[in-house]
Amino acid sequence: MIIQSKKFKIFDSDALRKFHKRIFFSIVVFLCCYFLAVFRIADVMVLEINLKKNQNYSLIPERGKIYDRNGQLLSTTVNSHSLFVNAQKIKKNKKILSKKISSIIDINEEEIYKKLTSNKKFVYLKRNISPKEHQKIIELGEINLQTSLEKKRIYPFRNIGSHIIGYVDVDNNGLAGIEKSYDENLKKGEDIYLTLNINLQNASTNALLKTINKFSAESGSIIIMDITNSEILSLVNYPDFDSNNVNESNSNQRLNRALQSNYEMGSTFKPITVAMGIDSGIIDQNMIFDVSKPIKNKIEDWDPCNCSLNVKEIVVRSSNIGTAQIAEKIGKDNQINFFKKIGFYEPINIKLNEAAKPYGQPYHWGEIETMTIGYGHGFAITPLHLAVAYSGILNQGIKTDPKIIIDDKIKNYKKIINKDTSRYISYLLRSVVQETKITGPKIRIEGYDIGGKTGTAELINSQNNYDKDLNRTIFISAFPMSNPKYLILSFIDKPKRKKANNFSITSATVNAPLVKDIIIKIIEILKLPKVDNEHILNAATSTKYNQINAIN
Amino acid sequence: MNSFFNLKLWWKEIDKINFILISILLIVGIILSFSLNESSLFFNKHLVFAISSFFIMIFLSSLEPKTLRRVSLFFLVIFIFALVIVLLFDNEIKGSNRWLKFLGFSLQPSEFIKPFYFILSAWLIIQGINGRQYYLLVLIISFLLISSLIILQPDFGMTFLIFLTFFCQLFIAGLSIFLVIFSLFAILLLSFFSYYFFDHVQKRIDLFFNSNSGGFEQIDYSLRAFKNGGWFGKGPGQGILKEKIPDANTDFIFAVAGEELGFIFCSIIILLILTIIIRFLLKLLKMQDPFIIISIVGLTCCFGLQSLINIFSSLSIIPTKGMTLPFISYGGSSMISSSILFGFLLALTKNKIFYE
Repeated sequence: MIIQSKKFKIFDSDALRKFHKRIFFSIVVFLCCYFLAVFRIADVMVLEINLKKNQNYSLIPERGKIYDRNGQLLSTTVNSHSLFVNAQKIKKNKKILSKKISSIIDINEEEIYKKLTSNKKFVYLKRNISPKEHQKIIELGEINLQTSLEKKRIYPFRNIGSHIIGYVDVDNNGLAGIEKSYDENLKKGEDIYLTLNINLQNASTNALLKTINKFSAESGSIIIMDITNSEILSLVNYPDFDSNNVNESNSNQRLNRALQSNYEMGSTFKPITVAMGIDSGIIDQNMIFDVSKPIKNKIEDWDPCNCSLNVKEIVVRSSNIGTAQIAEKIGKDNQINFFKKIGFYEPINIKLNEAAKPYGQPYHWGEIETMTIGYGHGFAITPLHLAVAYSGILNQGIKTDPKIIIDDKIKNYKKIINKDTSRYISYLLRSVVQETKITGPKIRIEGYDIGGKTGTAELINSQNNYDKDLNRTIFISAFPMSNPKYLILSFIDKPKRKKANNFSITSATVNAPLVKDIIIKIIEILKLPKVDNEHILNAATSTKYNQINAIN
Repeated sequence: MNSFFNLKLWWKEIDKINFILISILLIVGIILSFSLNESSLFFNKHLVFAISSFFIMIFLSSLEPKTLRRVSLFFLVIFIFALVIVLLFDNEIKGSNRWLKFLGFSLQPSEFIKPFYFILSAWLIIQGINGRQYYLLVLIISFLLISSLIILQPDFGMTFLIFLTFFCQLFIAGLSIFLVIFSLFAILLLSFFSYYFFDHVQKRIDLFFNSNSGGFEQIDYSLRAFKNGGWFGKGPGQGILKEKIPDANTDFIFAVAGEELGFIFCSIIILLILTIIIRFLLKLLKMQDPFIIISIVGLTCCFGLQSLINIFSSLSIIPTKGMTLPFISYGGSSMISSSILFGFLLALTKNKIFYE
């Protein structure tokens, strides 16, 4: 088209006869460019006008440190040496030399030999060698083995808190946890103070490990939160890893289950279902539900009873049939809306890259699913989702984003339920501990007004069936229930039936003692005083609920 | 052909000063290679390539313009075919697919495309100007074909160079001002396109504008090397840059020169390159044959721009492009391609052409 148009000219006519101007122009452009190059070299090399880039390099601040809430050092940078070799200059005895080096730095002899014969001028043999190794290398007397000074990140508490603190690569770029999500701040030299209490973290790690060993369980997590300001005081996963030696761990160990993995939460959903029913006015505390028959031959109770139960009894006895009926009354739409309100449809808003999107119910959600979801089957979220939702429900119905960094302001205040409903749920959780015959005694501590709810989910085995021997046991607990302050969520995956535990693998057997251990540690570490019983009864639960209690 | 080769006649006709300047460039490359490579393997390879380049250049410079055109067409077709093969086979090195391997040699067809293409594009442009518009269509199609084959590798630097050189040819041939402005826009557009679609281009450019973002990168080493050099350099073989970055003997050869041989030597290299460019361009003023003029413009600008891009990159004036310094950088493909380019240039600037 362009070519055919007669008025439009691609080339100026008779331009070739007058091309001299354009040649001169080109020469001038080349001259200018090359003089710019000369000027730039003079600038860099001789005139010593410092370049911005070089200045930046020399002024790169040391990576910031990470502390716990009390100023305990969790991560810092120290000087270390890296061993490298100029392989081109090493001429003979490579075999012997690699054997010698291998015995010092604990790296495979063949690997070292490969590097020595690589004919490269600069090959790292090992980054970050220890002072002892450094000394021995010097004693070897091979001048082509050289060391360079580098900065190494160290983690004094090793495995404790590693999932939260994270780790860095050899060049100190954050790869996970706080090291990754606050990489920019740390690189600028800013120190970070976590909300974690490293003593609590240590105590819950030990308690979790004890339980895992006792039941030969596969994995587990514990979250401890301050309900009043949503600060995460401790977050533990097992299996775990040492941030100092990340390379020796596998992805299973590095998985931050509490943030990254989605689980069905079992009976711990029942108080949530009750909360949405009560708060919306769809049910009230005095309603009676007939739990004598299974629903559609599908929904059954662990402990069947030919009776009718009120709302409190449904929660205390953990009746699936009763909760299913409550959920049916609430209906799917209200259920979804409430889940949205308490954050079950979004990743937790916390500055940790590991925080995962909740799985929810991606398949079919009909009437039967509404009922099963009511008691925690068919809807998956991360443990942190559950902890944050409970924290909001117990914090007088005000949910806020959880905090992991101290100077974060409390964000996203959101009223999710009324104060009265919140108080009622506290009362229910307390009743579970006060009134149940199996769970209660295992968790009660005189003088500390504890509440909680068990949850046990059967897992699917390799044949794709629910397996009575594959359990996930969950316990969510809070205290003091008069004015809830501490929330403890514990998770154990696949505990094994053992004679020492009467072959029981329910949450009551597995998690209740674990949470009790942890609460005792919290009391010790935070020096929490006892509160006398009468005081609790007067202040804690409103007279209204005591009356209901008396009637039933 | 050798029986036709008359050394005496050749010497009489050749542009002696440019021939000597180009040979000095080759010797500078050998010196740098010697100080750069302690192992004799690389140096020997460099020496072999340099010597063969020297003879290829002499041989090609004895050819007639008409023969050049035919040779170019023949090899262009071969190397376009090679470009297609490169894309079909997976020989990825550092994120791009540029190399063709056979019989233990690796060959970079995009390097060889340059001298042959600029001879042919010159011929097509002239045919187009003389009224045969069909040739302009061929010109545009061939340009689009070659640049898209190269950008698919992806080799953004080479595409950019070919585009710029092609533009210079059109500019000297009298491209109307409107189209000159249009082309400048196209270059801008191409830059944005590659910024958004090629990760490594984006990374390099981000790094260029925001030195805080990455750690200590090649370019910082390069600048430090210059800084360490001072007036006279640390002495051959004394630099540390070559130990720090992998592309020291190609993309950052100029920084190595800066560190080891100093400011004076670097200025001499720049002066040498600039003299060669300007001498070739000045010769055009006395010439008449439009095909030869546009060919020389293409070949000279290709050499000049490539050197400029390499030098500017190592000085951090522009983002790093991954381009060799002709006749100085290590690398067989680059060196042979440069020898073809210089051979063509010398052939086209022989004395007798003046008197025609």
